[in-house]
Amino acid sequence: MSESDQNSLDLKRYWALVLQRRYLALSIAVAVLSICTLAGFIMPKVYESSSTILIQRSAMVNPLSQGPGEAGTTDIGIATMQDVITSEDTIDRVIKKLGIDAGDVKSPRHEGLVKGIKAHISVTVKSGGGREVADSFKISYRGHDPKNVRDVVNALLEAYIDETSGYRRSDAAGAVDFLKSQLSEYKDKMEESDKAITEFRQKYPNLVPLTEGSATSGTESFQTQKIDADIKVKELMYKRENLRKQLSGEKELSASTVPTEGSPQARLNYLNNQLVILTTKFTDKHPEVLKTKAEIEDLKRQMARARTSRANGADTTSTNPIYQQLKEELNRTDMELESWRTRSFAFARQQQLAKGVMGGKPKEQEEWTRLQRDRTVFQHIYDDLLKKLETARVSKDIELTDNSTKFKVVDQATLPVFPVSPDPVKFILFGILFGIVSGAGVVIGIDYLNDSFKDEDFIEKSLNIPVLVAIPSVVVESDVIAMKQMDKKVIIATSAYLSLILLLLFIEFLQRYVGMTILPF
Amino acid sequence: MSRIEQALEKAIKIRESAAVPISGLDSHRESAKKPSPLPAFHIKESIINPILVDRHIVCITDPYSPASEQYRKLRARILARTKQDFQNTIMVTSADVGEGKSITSINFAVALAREIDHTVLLVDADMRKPSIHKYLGIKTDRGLSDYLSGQVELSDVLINTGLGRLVLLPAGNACSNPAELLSSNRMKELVKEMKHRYADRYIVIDTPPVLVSADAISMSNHVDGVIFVVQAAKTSEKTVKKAINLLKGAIMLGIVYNNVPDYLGKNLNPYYYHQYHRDDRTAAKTTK
Repeated sequence: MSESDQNSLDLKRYWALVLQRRYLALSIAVAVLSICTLAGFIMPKVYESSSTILIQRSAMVNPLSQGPGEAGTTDIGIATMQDVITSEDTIDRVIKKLGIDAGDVKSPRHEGLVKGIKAHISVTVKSGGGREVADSFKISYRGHDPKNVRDVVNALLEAYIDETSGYRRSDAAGAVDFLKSQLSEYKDKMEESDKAITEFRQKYPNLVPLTEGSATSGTESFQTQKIDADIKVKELMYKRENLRKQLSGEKELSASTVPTEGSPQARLNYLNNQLVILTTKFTDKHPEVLKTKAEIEDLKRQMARARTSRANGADTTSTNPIYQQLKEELNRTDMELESWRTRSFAFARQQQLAKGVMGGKPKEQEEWTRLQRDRTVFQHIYDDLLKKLETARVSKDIELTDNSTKFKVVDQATLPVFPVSPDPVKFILFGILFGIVSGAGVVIGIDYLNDSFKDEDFIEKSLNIPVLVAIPSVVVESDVIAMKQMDKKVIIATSAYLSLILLLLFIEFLQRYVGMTILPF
Repeated sequence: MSRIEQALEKAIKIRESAAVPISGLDSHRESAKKPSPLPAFHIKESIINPILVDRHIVCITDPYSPASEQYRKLRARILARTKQDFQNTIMVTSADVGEGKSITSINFAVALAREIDHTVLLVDADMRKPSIHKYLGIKTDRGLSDYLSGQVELSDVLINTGLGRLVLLPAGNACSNPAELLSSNRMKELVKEMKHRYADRYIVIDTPPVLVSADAISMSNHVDGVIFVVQAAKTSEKTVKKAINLLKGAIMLGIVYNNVPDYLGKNLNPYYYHQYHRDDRTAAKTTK
């Protein structure tokens, strides 16, 4: 015989056993059902009231953890929330709010009351996005008095919100104080740093530029200026050489009565035109303008002297104006050249001086760098703290003016109509199920515990005597008829009883789960 | 009439006229071989009305039922067991009351009596609670107790039931000292006489439960074998062992595992039996 056949046989055997002892099984099942049904109606009623609260996140800014201009969040930890709600302090507030006479705070009666309330509080927290942060939470409380249950939940909720808001306010205020103290400290440090820098500058006036950056830029500026001066010197030297060559080709004296091209008059005209052009570009004090004006004045003087000499009838010869002009140009070029050379030298000297400041003395330079760095760091921290202080003040103001926006009560605790326990519907359903199981179980259990012989092979093994035959139960017709009549009576009685129970179940179901009012109680 | 039938009738007449001597028959085999010199009893007849018979006596009321088949099986096994030495005196007992020993005794005796070659004497030795005559629907005023107490002769209390060759010795009137009566010399002599008088026939003795009285223990010493009835799902192992220990010395022929409910009948298949015998029953009804 295979294992499946054996199992099938066992099940059939148990079923036949239950049928055989059906009155016992039925009696137990009905008894269990009756007890469960009765318990569902007479057990002390336990009511539950609950309130669901939504946590709104964008209500405040955490000044210490958030940057300026960034939206803050109300990150309330699940564990923290549960601990706070069920804390003795919160429950104590509830007791005071409800005016329950619990005696002295340290008395055993008070402790017992607090523990009793705590044991019946249930906090269910829902978190969103897989974070350990609460989005909403539900406070439930169970008790025997429906009104008390509702009041406790509402009082508990209020106490919790007050407590949490108070914590937040003190948190923001503490942050402001802390930031102020920090600001003061860093302000002192900045002043000390400024003082040290001033002393250092006084001590090393020639070595210290205003700033390191300015020192670097000064060196570079001197170098650029020197290069420009050198270029100018070279240009002037080239110009001077050309002038000298031109001068060597011209005669110092010449006879000329008619103004020709290259004559002083033509030159004067050219310079006047040039002056007009220059004055449109530059001011009157520009060197080119001054130079042109000086040349014009000089030409005018020369022309006046020439006219005077011709009127006297003296010598028909006169000084060659081109030569004179070239001579004067040469003289000016020499002067300019000398000037630019002097400048180039001065720039070179300044550059050398600046270089000496930058890398000349490492120890002092290191000290200078440190002072500068400290000053910069202190400045940054001070600025940051200043911004945070402003944020904290804003947050504190928000806290003080808008506490209620943090929590939104979605479901207010209401007066419970039906007790959560016992639930007759569940009790009856449980009774039906458990009754069937226990009825069959008891019958099978009794059979299992019965140490009588139930197997021929076992008899032979146990007694060592052969079993000649196994006579099946003889059921006589009269017994069958009597049994059927009995079965009929039992079925009618059980059906009537079960119908009553099922009617109760149906009524309770409609009242509790559908909301229909069928019975006035 | 065929030759075989003529021979059988002749044999029956010879057997009926045979007598077994009381003395000198120490062994059963010997007694079986030698014809009895004693004359046959004059037995009064009381034809059993099947309607009055209890329905549990299935060998009479429902001979094609599964239970009847089992009793026939019991008969076959007992015959096979006792055939060689012809141990013809069989006691039926049980550990406790209500296990079905009287019903087993009657059904076994009826099944045995229906065998062509055997005559059966069914003795109701349960003088405390006699029930065999009730099961068979017979009214008796005297019986074994009356004989043992010397009030009547044996022939006065034997009843021919009309069921094959079944003869009944009822328990008789209730008495206060059945154990003494059963262990008396008169009882010993009765058993001896019965064995010898019905040498080719079986004697089935129904006794009280072993644990209730000492009657069965007393009787076990006078019989050739014991059939022990155990009711399924009722008699505990401990009880049965205790009873069997008390019967030490007796020849235990075997156990009748009685009143097996459906849920325990792993070797019984009622469907099979009903199907198997349906044709027989139909045939029997048609004949009637």
